[in-house]
Amino acid sequence: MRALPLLVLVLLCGCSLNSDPVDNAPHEVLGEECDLDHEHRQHEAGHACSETRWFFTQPWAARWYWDKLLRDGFVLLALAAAVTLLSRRRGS
Amino acid sequence: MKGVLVFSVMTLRMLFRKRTPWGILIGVLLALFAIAQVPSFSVGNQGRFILDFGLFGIELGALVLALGLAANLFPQDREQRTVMPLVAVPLSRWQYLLGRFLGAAMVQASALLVSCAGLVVILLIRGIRVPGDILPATVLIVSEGWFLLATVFFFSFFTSPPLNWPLTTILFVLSQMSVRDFVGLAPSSPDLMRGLRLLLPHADVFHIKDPLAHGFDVAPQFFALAVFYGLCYTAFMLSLALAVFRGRDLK
Repeated sequence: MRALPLLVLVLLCGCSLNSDPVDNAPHEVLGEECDLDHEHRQHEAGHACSETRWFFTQPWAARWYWDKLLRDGFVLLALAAAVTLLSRRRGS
Repeated sequence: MKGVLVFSVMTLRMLFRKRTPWGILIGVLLALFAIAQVPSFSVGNQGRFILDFGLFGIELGALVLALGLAANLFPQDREQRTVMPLVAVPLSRWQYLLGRFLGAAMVQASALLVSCAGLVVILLIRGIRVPGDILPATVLIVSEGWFLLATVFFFSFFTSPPLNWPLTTILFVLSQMSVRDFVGLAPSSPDLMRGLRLLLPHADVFHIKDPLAHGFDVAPQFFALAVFYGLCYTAFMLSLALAVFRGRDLK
């Protein structure tokens, strides 16, 4: 039973590893900002421009991040089930 | 399961009779109205401003609603000694927790839906185009609200309400930060900060106001994934809350 907090900690860390979308971003996205200079800041809505790396590496735009999101969801569900069952056994 | 539903409806009625959710809802609607009064250089800029700050205000409303609805529920039940007879005969502890959570979640979801509807009405009155993704964005904010609600329940089983408020607010703020921003809080010890960030949820997944305000289309798959992630984290926080609750001596 003492292993429960440890298990939670390890799995929670596991489901968050490499969790920065910027670290995992493909080169095209990160290179985008270098192709434009400061004179191109004015842009139409829906078009990328300079200094926009933060914007285009947000989870909603980071398609390379979505698989991890799905995996994290399943890990969290498994954790929830494990914690519920173990706490029930401890309570009985 | 019938017991859970009956108890959640009882919780729903009890919370609707309180002034707290009504006060918070009126506060959020007034804030939205005030945001719409801020002058801007053009209609386009004003639309962005209203959407950006409006959705941010509703997100903050979700946090305040979670705290206002749930921080006092268990401590009050314990103080008034109603929790003992409840979990002794008609309900088990998980049924108590789930009933309370579902009741509060329904009240919170209703208030957030009304807030988002209020934002749409303000945009329409101002003659600003309403983004097509406003409905899925609302569902995402509701999902974030439920995650916060589960967090408040978790803290409420071992802290007092005055401590619950800052703890949940700190978790809300820190979990909104990206890994880089979080490491930036203490740049001298990046490994420690990265390690700490691993333990926090990724609430930046719920950031949806930026693409909406700037006219970007968000893929429906992302909405589905983000809502799924929010619901899974809610289930996880509830399981932790249940583990703490099961270990508590209620005498």
